[in-house]
Amino acid sequence: MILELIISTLVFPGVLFISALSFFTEWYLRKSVAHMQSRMGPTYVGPIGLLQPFMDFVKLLAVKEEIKQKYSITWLAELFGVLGISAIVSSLLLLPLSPIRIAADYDFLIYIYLLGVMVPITMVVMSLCMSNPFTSIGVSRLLSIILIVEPAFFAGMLTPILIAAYIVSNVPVFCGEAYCRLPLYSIFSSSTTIGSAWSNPIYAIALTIGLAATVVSVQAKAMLNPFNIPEAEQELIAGVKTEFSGPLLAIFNLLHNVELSSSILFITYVFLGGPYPFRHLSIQGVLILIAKYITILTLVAIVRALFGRFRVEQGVWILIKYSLIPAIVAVAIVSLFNLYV
Amino acid sequence: MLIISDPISASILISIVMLSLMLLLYLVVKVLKPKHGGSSDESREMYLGGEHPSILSKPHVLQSGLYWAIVFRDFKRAYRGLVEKMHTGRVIDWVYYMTAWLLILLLLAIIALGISALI
Amino acid sequence: MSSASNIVGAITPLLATASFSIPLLSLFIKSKKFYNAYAIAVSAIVLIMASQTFMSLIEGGYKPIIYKFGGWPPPVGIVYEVDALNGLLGLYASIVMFIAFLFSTWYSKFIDDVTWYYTLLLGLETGIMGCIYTGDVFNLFVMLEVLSISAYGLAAFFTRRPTALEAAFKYAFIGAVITTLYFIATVILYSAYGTLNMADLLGKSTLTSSSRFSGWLFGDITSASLAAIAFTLWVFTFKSALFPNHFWVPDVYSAAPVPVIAAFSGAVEITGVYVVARFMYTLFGAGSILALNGYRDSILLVLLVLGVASGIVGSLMMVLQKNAYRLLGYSTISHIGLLYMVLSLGMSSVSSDVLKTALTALIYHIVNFGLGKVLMISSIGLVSAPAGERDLDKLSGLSRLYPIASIGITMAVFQLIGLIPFGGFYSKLLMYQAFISGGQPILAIALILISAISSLGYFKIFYALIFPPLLRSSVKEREGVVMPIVLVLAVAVLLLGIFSPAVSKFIETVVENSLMPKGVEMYYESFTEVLKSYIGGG
Repeated sequence: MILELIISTLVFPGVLFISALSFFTEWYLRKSVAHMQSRMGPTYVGPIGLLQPFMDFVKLLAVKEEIKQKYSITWLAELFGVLGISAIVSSLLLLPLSPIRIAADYDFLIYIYLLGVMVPITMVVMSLCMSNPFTSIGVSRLLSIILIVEPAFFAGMLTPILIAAYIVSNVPVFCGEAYCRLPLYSIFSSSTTIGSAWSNPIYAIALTIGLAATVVSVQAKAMLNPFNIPEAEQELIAGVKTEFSGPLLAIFNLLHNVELSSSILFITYVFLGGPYPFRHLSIQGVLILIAKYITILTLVAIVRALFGRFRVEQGVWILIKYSLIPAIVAVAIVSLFNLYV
Repeated sequence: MLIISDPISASILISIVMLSLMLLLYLVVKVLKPKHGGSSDESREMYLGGEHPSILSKPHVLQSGLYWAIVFRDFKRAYRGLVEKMHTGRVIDWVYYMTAWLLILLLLAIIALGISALI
Repeated sequence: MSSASNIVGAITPLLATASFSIPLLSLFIKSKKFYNAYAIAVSAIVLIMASQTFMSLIEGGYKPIIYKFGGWPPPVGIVYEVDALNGLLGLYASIVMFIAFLFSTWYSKFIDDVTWYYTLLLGLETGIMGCIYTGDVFNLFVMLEVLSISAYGLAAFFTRRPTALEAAFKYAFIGAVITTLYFIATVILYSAYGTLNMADLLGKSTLTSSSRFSGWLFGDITSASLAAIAFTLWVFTFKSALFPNHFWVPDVYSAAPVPVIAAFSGAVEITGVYVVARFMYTLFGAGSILALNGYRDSILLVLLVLGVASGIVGSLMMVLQKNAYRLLGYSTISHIGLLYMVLSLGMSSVSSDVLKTALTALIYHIVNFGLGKVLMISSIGLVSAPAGERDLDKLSGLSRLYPIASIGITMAVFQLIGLIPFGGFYSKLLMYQAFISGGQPILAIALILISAISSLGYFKIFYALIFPPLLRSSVKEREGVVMPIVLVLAVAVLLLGIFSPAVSKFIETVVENSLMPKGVEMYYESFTEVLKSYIGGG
């Protein structure tokens, strides 16, 4: 079992798989946004430019030198960057995708803490290790965005979890020899039961609102347009990333991309049911899974291409209006429905 | 394979995985980094967009300026209300707010008493 | 069993004697080191006695221990009744006070007149231990006054600073009025019930229906309970700093001596929360006269709303502060709001499993929050006291001089935000569980919003003290006894998280034997047993 755990963590869906997925995600985003803006995007490295993000990463990690700054604590920044990546990789063990799955009551809360509390903290500490006024201001903008994004993400993802908990506590599941109860408020049970919930119209409405709110919050978490406020280039040089160079920049970029791709992966599982209605180990299942993933990714790309950047105060209020409040509304709809029906 | 357990053990397992993975990846990064050499061995000054560091009075932003955007732009109205109307520091304001809470308690008591007297 | 009950009775008189003899001793002995050693010895003895009490409580199967003062039988005399909740919180409070005293020995370098300081601090501990262990409503008032007066004195300790004097005057004036109101509440209770003993009140409020003992409104226990609870809750929400009774906290924290701030956060406010829990769950529990017409449910609902408001107001105000300890004061207000949010889940619509989870979360969070806060205050105190400054801007980067302070601050910030694997995460996890399974996911969203906003505030401290590069060379003070304090607390905070399955199971047992109906039964039974031993037979 330990061996399977190690393979799950390192290979699939561990470090190698999620890194590959994040490189693919970055390539897809750059290519689709470029085509929407009549540009070519990455073309030359690898077939249709597929290997571009990977080569960028290798270049930064192994070739470029780290520029030492007088006041910086580089080892701490690298440590925290790697901690962020590990947090995301270990949260992948909660998905049904992983061969060794961990499921428990309330494991959704563990996921939220890893992704929503641990990762922003590691990003902030990484940036703070480099003393620079631009970095500090970028960090304060990052914190003000995170203040709203994390509760919005939590509330948005809570909607299908609540629905799944209601279904799970009322519908017995036959597993093996006896009836067992799937864990309550768990990502695993949400992924396996949410497909059937879409057929209920009230649940479908709440799920759509929640899905929209969550996608907006993921856009903000990944600091993509229109929410790339912490990196506002014209105002802050490079904001949070000002003093990063070489391996540190590679780690930061990887952390950022892994966070984006794992959030989309979790949305695909928790909201859309993963390979529903097929099983994991079938061709249709894998294809549908990839199709759902690419759909959400395209949504993200479209929003990125369409908007300019919001100012800090605009961005926070728009987040509250279009992400936090709809998510709370969706949660309220679901809890009232569960209570009275 | 599925491991179902209570959330506390699950979180402990996941955090052990996370911390050991962190150490492993940190070692990998340390190994793959290019070794020191060349001109970048001496420490550089901060990058300020081409300016000389002497334009700064301090090399870091004061913590009081860290949340300027949140306090003075995003939530300006909320904070103005909080600080100027509620947390003024005057004792009489304290007394107003505290008495309001006491009156709510007493009001609820009177309502409950009234209901029990009517029944 | 009887030796254990003797020890409980000795705690408060010992502390009071020790406290009052310091002014006498100061006529003869002038050395600071003597008073340091004296105070540490007294608080260590109290710690040993509190742990002995708790150990014998566990050995006795959590049956409440009753100590009769002066040998007088309960409703007539004053008793200390120690059940699982008291025992654990008394032990916890004595640990926090012991750490505060240890820190005071280092901090006494910066205090001129140590004798008055230790008199007041020992008086504070007397009040705290008395409030926690007492089983009598009027004795609670007396100990509350002892606690309050020591607190007023300690808040004003640095008489040359205008902020300290202003804070203490405001606190003292409001506090004096408020504790008088609690006295009126006890008068009302006595007039209607004829008794001041907590267990007796418990029995009379559940067993008898609204009967008129004498006269119309005056002797009617319904109106008396309603009025008394209204006043009591107001008073103890002031003591524990729930919004809107929280205004005294930031002022007092910004100017009091550092170990006093640790004692306030870790012990005084917790006493207020304990008394509210005692009144709402033991004395006037779910089956009592108070539950008539939904009064108890509506009170708990209002406490819930105020808890959420307190959490949000506290964390929003945290972001604004420049004074490090004022920031910690608002953070205390925010955490106390969380404690009230989870304490007020005792409504009749909530199942008892959810209630058990909620109360386990309450006590677990009390311990986590208290130890984390004391760790933070000790680490910041190590940096701010030699510099003589409390403003975060002026303290920039100073904790690079004291690596132990940096470690302490980091661990404390992670604990208070609630990161895995620190204990703060597991108590918040229990809170989430209680909210979500109790059918209130909105409260879970409020909890995460409060955690997000307050983590901004904690980052301020983190950023200001650790990250800025230290430019001027400052003189470094020797850490002395603070280093082991910070190290032990940091390890304790980590262990509370790593061993959280065992810890939460233990706390669940404590809750079951004290605040759940089974525990309330045991509380009343111990009292009736003592009564029977006097009356003879059953």
